[in-house]
Amino acid sequence: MADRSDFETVAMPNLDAVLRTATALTGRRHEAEDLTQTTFLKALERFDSFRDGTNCKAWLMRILRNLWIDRLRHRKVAGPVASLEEDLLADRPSVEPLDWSDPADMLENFADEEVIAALRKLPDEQRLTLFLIDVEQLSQEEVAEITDAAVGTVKSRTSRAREALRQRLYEHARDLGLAGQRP
Amino acid sequence: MNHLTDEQLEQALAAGAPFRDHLDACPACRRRLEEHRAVRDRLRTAFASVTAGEDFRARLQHQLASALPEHGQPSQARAPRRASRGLRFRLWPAVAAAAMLIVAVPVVFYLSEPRTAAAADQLAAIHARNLDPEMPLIAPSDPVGMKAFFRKRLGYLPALPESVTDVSIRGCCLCHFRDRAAGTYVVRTGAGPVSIVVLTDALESLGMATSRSKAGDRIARGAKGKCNVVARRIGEYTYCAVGEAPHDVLDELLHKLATPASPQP
Repeated sequence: MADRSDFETVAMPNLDAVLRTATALTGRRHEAEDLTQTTFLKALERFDSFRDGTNCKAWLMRILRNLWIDRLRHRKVAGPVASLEEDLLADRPSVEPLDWSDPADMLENFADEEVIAALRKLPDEQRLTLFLIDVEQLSQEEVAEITDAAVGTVKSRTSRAREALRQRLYEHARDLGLAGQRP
Repeated sequence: MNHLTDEQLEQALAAGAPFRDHLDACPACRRRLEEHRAVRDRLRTAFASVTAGEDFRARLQHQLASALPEHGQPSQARAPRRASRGLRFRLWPAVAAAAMLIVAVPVVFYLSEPRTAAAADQLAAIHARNLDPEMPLIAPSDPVGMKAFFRKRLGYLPALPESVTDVSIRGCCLCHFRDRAAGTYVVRTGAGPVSIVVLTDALESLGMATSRSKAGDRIARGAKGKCNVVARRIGEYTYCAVGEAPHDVLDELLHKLATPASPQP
């Protein structure tokens, strides 16, 4: 059991990681800060239940996810909030494979906000799973615990999410004339 | 030959070593792995700049300190005792005055100088970002392609200068003003680059001084450091011209945008 006076030392180093994840979930800076703030206040309240020696980042992510789910439930009642960016990479039917001869080079053409906007279009659980694995580099076991899923589900979900993101970026690149049809 | 499953691909991506023989022999799986690796790496760099600002960090720490005032105990655990009936009665005028202050102070701040400054600050920041050489530059020479680009990214075609080859875009034609998405592009003028920012906000809400331009148009003017700002309404949007050019140059540019020589397709 952790002592509350340790909160600053143990939890605060994860502030950037929590804010990044909140940004991935909400897509809006203001809302991400609000969600991060609520997460830390909730974490402080529950810090007695944090076990010393376990991964505090994963513990905070679980709190963050639960708070996010609560907000989504509330939003379903209150109605969706739309933003202009969300319309940019609208869902489209799958198209023929495209020529992506140098993937890393082509992805450099996108602004960071374009990549983040494309990620935002993925379903919530896919987005969170992919983000925690690829960006926060948590283990598949940790992500399985955070998202209440089996490890096998996390693996396949990560792969499908990355594939969907690749496809969205790909189509966007084609629309901008950065990629052509694969021969 | 069977291709790698999703789970096997994740293993290969995480460690590299597994399935090496298969990857050596299968160009399709090798390519798929390479594409997934590129997406993963780009996703990481996209979020690298997302960090907590000093203001936010300080605000959060203050809130945490308020929730944990002394001896590591949360404040709600030490709720103050209820005041006696007599004391509550005597406190009532003070509570009412405090409530008035809580309502009045934000309204005064909302309507006064800081909000005016904030609009010019944000527009100047958007201009600085538009000129950041680190941002990818999109400067198409094809007017039709550029118009299609704007339509796709913004959902509408903003008013553009007569010669769209004078227009360039840094990174993305989207920016954020007051936490809402807005359109932006840069026009090269004889007095230096000027950012055009297209807002859904009303002209009056910018909080800048309004007047009539030489051509008789209703405009708003402001400044932030070396940056001048002129705004006016064109159609359904408020167009802001932001740059180091004098106010009258910015005004003239907006006037030309509002009165194109030929209708835009």
